[in-house]
Amino acid sequence: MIDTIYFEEQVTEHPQTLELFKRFPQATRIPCTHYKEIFNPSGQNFRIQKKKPALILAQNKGKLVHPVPATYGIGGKRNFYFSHMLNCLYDCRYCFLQGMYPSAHYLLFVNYEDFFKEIERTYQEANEQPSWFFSGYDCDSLALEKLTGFAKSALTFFARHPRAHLELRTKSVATRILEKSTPLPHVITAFSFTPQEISDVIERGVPSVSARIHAMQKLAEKGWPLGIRLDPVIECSDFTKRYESLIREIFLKVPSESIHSVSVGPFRLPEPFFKKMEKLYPQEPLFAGNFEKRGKSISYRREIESQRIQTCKDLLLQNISSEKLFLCHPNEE
Amino acid sequence: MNFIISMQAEARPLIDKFRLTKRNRPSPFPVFESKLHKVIISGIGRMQAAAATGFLIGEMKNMHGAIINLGISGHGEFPTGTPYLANRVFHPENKTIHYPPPVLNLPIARSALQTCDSPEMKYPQPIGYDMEAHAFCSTAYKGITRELVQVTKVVSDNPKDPLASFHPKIATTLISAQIESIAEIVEQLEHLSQELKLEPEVLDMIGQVKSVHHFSVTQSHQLEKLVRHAHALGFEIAELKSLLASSPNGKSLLSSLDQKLEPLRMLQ
Repeated sequence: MIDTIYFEEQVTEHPQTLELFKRFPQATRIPCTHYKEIFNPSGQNFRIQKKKPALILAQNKGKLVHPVPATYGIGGKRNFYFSHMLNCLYDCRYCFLQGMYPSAHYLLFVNYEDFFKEIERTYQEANEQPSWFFSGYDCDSLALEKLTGFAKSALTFFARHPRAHLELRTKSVATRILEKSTPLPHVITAFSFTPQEISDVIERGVPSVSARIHAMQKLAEKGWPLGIRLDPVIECSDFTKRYESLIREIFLKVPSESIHSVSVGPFRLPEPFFKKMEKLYPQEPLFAGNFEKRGKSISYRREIESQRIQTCKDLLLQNISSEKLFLCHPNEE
Repeated sequence: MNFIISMQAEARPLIDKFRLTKRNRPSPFPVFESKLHKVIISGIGRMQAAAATGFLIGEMKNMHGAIINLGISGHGEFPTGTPYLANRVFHPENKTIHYPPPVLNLPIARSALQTCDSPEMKYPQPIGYDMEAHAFCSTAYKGITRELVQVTKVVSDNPKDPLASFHPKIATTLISAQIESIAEIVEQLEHLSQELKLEPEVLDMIGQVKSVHHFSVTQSHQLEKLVRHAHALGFEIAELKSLLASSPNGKSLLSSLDQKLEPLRMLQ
């Protein structure tokens, strides 16, 4: 799976690095001084790299926990995200990572301990108020769990810190670590969906909708709180029928009392990201959609977006109460 | 495929394999070429490699063509005759280290490679030693997609068979023995390069339309985008041709095509 491992010389002896070297003994190991030497140069092609990404092991010495924009969240007032990894196992055509990063290599920051220290410091600033930490912003939280073991470390940490809430966001079915662990009421595993026919064409490598629902069922049986994320909502033919069928299938199999939250978000990308992605995949039908520039972002035309978000909202409210439904409002400045 | 090779003796097997002919018109470097391939003989050393690579980029039509720096090199560990791909290319006096991206699926050795200003006779580390690769990468990365820039060397000397006993003509024999491995590298890189180029039918269509109507610069961009979208959305080329035939001018064509695409602009 991993043929090449780049590693910063400073993390050569880190336990996580040694573990990964042991796990991939055949991989070519290439030392570097700083991960940016490999990850950052311009002129790299994300599309080609995505065919066979290398693994980069590094230490993140900068700010590790960042505030989430005010218009995002699932009920908490103090929201933060962190990225122990950049890039994802899956290849979703709408994913902003393709537009944001020059490289498709998996960049793993092995200093998990520093992330946890900063999370602890951040939530302690708020006295009694709970803080939310979102882990699936720059990667899928669980898809590469076998490789990273991050969720395992995170569960151990969050079990000791009940005021710190965690969202693991995923499209994967790699939920074994959760199935083996005691459920934590403040750790939400949120599954992202688009209808199966759409997933088939724009979410390469992603497990089927039914496999993900089955993973949710297993976690619900164990008592884990779950999330559903329809973000981004994708314009398509038979939109209502397809989203209705998706939502019906989820709620038919996953008990609604297991659902902590559902969020719905429109397709939106910063314009430079959209342009870069269009250049990477000029033959992609998704990018020939009915888009417009709004503020600094590219989104579906306002009337389409409002209609589609409303449809999803209506369909979801047939299954959950409005307190559990959250809409992601992009910043239109 | 494009090659930067320092000595003609190293290029000879490629010239024969790909049936390349020497360019007759004046050129700053000797060029051997066919319709599909081009070999530029740079001469030895960093300056020569950089200049030849710059010259080659100037001749290339877009950044999605591929370039290989091919040649012989010393190595501190590998036996003579071993072909390898460089995965870390550095020069002791240059801060920038190059990491040619690992995009090829081939059972071929990988190695770090140090570019030196004079032949390395002591082989202090278990890595390759050449005199061009770093300068080649530094220049090529300015104009070409990094994944399509690769460095392939064949070991000509090592601590057991040091440089002192090496004759340049051996280069031809060493490269010749690895010509099939080199051909595989060429094939895979060509495949990646093709994937990044805009589909020929889209380019043809844009060319056809532009030969019929006049377009301003802005309209030209609009046209290219619309034809690209038409292709992505499965709009028939025949229908596009019929629109072209019935449109009195460029502006009218853009408007009709946009209208035709409107109902198709959603995932099916």
